[in-house]
Amino acid sequence: MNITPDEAARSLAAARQAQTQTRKTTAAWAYFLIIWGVYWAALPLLRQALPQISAMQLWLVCLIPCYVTSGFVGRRLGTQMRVRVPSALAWLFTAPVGIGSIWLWFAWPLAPLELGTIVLVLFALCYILAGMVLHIRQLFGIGVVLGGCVVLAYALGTYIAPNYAWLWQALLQGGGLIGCGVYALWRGASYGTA
Amino acid sequence: MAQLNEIIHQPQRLQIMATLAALDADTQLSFTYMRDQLNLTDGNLGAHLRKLEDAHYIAVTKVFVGRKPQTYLQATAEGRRAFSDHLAALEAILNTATVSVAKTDQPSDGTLKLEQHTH
Repeated sequence: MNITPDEAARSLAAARQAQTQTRKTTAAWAYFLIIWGVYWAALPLLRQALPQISAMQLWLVCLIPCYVTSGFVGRRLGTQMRVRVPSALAWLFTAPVGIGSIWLWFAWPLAPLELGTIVLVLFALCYILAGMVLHIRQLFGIGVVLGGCVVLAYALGTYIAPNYAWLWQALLQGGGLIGCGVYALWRGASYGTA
Repeated sequence: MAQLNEIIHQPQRLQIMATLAALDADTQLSFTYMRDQLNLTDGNLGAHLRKLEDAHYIAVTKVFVGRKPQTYLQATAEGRRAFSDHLAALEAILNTATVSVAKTDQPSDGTLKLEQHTH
């Protein structure tokens, strides 16, 4: 089979374009991080702006649009692709969250700031564990960034500038998740173009 | 040296393989997504998929989601290997041509010669 260098170049370009498009599509899972980042950014800001409304009420009201949007993204992704999730992944997420929930039950009542911090630390731990056990660098990276942001937000909000505790949470926790999502989307979109 | 693969070289099949090879081993792409991406009809895509499936380059899985049948596609290990060999062969042709152009870049008679290499 003989082809000219021009044909070879055209074929390679077509293959790379198709691969880049696929990477963009598969990177769409990052919208989940952005949606939940917006949630964790909006929640503390609303708490700061509307102190008369209880944190738990705000938490629950904000959950609804996030679940609806996540469902929409999940449904769209589901029509495009199917991922065989390793059963270990489910365990690596449910086990720490389950143990954490039992611990929260005994430690209750907690201040809303502490509760938000603990929930996000648990999720960061899940990502780190899943990344380590399944050797998925992206999950590990998300866990480290999220965990770092949560610890920093808690330290700033508790010891350094407690008057702005909610603002630190919004900026670091919500911003950290949004940042991870935007980075994952950018990685997908820029794959093969560098 | 890697050889060009006649089954994969056809433009639509090359795009199908490129798309599927870019996925993780645990991920499958839907038939409808592939059809829309490549702007092909159901029949046309089906024919290309059959050729690739016969060559054991892709695996086709049919499942029911609710009551609707869905077809999912995935590159096999053999398909990924064949695709990567094909890309290597294309790159080799391009590289050899680039070297040839560089060698003939300053010809005494002022013309540019492009050597064609076959594999």
